[in-house]
Amino acid sequence: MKSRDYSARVVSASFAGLDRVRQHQRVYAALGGRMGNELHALQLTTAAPSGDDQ
Amino acid sequence: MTDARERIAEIVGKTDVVLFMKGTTLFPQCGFSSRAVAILDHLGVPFETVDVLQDPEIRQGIKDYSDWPTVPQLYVKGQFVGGSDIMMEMFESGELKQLVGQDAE
Repeated sequence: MKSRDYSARVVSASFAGLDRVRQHQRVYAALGGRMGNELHALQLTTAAPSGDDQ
Repeated sequence: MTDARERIAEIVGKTDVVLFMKGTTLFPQCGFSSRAVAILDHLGVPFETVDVLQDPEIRQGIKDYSDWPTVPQLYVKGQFVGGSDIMMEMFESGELKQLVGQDAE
């Protein structure tokens, strides 16, 4: 059984004003406890939308 | 049950840069931990590591402490900074170098 590596970039207006830790925590919460368990190898970057990044 | 919490608070309080990781700097046991060590080595900042694989109480406790589900975890001056993803982003932007005080040499 091989675990897989995933990567995701999550952009959300709700991230505005939050530091990276809090942004990531929001994503982990949305993943409903899978992070650290089934999804132990998720590479995550997060950002609030900038002008060019729709 | 606060034992782990107190131990962790003490560890992160006494050294400026502390990395909770899987394995040791010589023998990291996971790719993300390995990457975290490489970043800190590159910055040339002195740091302490804690091998969570040696202590189940710390292994679970560190996740509760920061409300963060994974290891590695970097603490600078007692504050949780993030895991290897965040470290990499901050490293690339120069923020990490600034944070650990390696900017002014």
